[in-house]
Amino acid sequence: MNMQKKIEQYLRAAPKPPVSDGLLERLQADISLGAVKTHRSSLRRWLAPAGRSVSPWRVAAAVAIAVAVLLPLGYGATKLIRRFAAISQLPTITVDFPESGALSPDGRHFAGITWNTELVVIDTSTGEQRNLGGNSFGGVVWSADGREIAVEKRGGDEEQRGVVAVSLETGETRRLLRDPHFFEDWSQDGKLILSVQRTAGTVYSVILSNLDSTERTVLAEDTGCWPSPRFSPRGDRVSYVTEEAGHSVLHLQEVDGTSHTKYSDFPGAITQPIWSPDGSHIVFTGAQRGINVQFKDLWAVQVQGNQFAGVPIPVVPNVEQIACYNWSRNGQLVYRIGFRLGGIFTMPVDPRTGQATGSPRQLVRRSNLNSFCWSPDGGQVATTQGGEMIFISASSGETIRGLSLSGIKNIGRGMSWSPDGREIAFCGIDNAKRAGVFLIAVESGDVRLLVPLEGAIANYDPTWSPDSKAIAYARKNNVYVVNVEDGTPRRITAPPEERDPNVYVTRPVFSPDGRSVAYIAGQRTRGNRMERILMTTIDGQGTKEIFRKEGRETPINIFDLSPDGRHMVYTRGNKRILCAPTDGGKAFRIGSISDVGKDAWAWMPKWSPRGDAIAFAVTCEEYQYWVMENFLPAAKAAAQ
Amino acid sequence: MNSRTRRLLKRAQKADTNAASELLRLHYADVYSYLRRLCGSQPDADDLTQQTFLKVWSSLDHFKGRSKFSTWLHRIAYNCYIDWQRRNAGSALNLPDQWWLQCVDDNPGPFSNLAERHLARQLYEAVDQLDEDKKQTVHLHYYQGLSLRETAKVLGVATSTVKYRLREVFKTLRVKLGFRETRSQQQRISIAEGESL
Repeated sequence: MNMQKKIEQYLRAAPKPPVSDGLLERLQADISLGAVKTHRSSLRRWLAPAGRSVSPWRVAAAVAIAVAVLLPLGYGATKLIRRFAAISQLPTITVDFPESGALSPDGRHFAGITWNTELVVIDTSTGEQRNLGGNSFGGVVWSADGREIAVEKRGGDEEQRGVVAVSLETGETRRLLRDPHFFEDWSQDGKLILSVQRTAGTVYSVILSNLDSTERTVLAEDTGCWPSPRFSPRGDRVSYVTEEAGHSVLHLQEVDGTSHTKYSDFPGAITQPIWSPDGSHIVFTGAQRGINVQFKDLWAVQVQGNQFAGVPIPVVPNVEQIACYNWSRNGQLVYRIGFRLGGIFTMPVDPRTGQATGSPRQLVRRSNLNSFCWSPDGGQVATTQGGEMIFISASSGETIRGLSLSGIKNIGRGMSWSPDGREIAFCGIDNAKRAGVFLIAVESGDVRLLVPLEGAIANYDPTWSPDSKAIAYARKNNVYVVNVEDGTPRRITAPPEERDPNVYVTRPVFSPDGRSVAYIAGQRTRGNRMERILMTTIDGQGTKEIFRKEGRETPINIFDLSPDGRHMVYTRGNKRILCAPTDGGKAFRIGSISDVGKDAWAWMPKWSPRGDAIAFAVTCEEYQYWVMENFLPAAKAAAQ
Repeated sequence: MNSRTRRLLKRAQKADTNAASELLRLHYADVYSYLRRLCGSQPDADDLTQQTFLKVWSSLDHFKGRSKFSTWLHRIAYNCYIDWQRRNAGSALNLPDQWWLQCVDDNPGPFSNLAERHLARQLYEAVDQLDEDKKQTVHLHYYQGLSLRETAKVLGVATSTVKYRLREVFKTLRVKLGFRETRSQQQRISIAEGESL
């Protein structure tokens, strides 16, 4: 055996000395569990060292130490923490601000414009809300001192219209600019305003207005996209976006016109450029198209003087559901997250009675759904997604196939599958900025423009005739029918000059026999709204009323006829799906989506060609408001 | 720390005398042996064991379970011994008896023949003559059966220090016992499962 191991063995086997007699008894007698002390906290031991009552002197000393030492330390720690990237929610904001909003320079208030155009200010710490007036549109911009909020007013007295500054304290307004077009930004010195002017279709210009001299300067014309102009924090430079030859271009321009720099190499679409509070960066959302998927990330590009420094870098990935508002001077980028719970729902119905025979079920979860249609056999549903026309199984919700819509830039409301199954009509604007009614061949995917029309928002609601030879659509308060062979539209409604100017006409649906087109004819009066479903023959000679509804809210949001024409299904822009006989009978509720979400609303019902189901779209976005701080790489590097 | 010891500890910390007594019964012999070998006198070992357990009871509520109970116990015993040693430094009482004489004779154990018994006595005597640090290391690790990490915790040193001391100990013992080893025989000292010097 190795001697070392032997030594180890000897050491391990060392015998134990025998224990003295009576030792265990003595030790047991020593056990004094009174000596087992009750545990006292360190604070208690410090405040009451003798174990009796708390010493007031020691309490006073503790307070003095806290004030003299801990508070300065805490302040330092807070400053240190603030140097690192942080994301936090603004739970006190519970109002929906769909388009614009802004955090005050000190971060204590949030101002935004609600769905019903009210300017609302919320105290971010207490949640207290104040309404500072209606008829508000456009951007929301705080003054440098945080005492005023600039918004655009379109309604009310003539003297109140234009860009106004609303006092946070009193709510009083003072007009800054009479003719703002679309108000976007207000310089921090309060002397300049940026707005966007739309001259036609998607032709926009960036306008700089000097409030002292009332001079207007056109900084950019025909931007090709919404330019989102913004002042730099010092107000000496302006950034905006244009689209040139299919590429997004980010511009950096001195307000006096002495310098102009472009960045045009971004491989996607640039939107919402925002300046960092120190003017060192411009952050924007960049959308890049992959294979059948669109990626949207937050990017940052550094600015040095009047030049871009380097190339943009991604700073926050996957911001698809984020809408940025503003970057306050206190360093917080406030944004909204929308949880999109809506999509296409289907509900089985009895074709004879129109009554539901089952509950609504979600076929696909989608956001921003503006169009879909049934296939002629009722087995599929077509809709658009990520630059494609996709075909979904009406039973399983699975995507069966897709057709590219790469030549189409924007798709409007309304889609209809020809009864012969060969083409789908939809409306939109193509890459050559031509708006109108388009047709896509279901087999080959070929797209052609059937009816060229002018307009920035192509919501024409095209609908096929039962014989697949004509399409009806609505435009500028009229209903037209176009023959697919020759592409010549014909108005079937009475000329506008012969009608009450308060009557609006929209959303046509071909009757099952193909001889008439049904449509909504609405009339809005003060505090009330009346809507009728009229049916006009395709030669325009005869019109009859098949349904009428009145109410303070929208009586009929959108409708469709059953295949036999005996019923119509409609929604009112809330959670209910309603059905009514077309022979003048009483409307009844056939379904509700009350369990989808608190702000969900159903619309665009489409009766299946077999009549045994109704598909409808549900829009449901639940919003949360958050702020991000110190997320730029430079800020992180400085912190490190 | 096994579950039984943990349960007894919890009860003892809630002033359960029976549990404390059971803990004592489980561990007093180990503590006594450790101190008896170190201090070299039975009465002193008795006193030190008593002191050790008095300290155990008075500070039981401070034991948070971050180490084994036996490790904590040996740490208290070690401190008691160090205090005792300081108090008696230079006195005649510091001269130890040769505990192994009686023990080896009374407990043959693996030492089945006279030669081995003689070797064992030589070895224990050599250990007793080691520096205090090295001696403590041998006592805790080999005599008391603590692991390297537990030994380090009791002594308040790093585990690597314990390993270093043991290597030095073996060098010393080989010289003192007159062993001759070839280089190939110098192999790692197996200490415990998963550990090596």
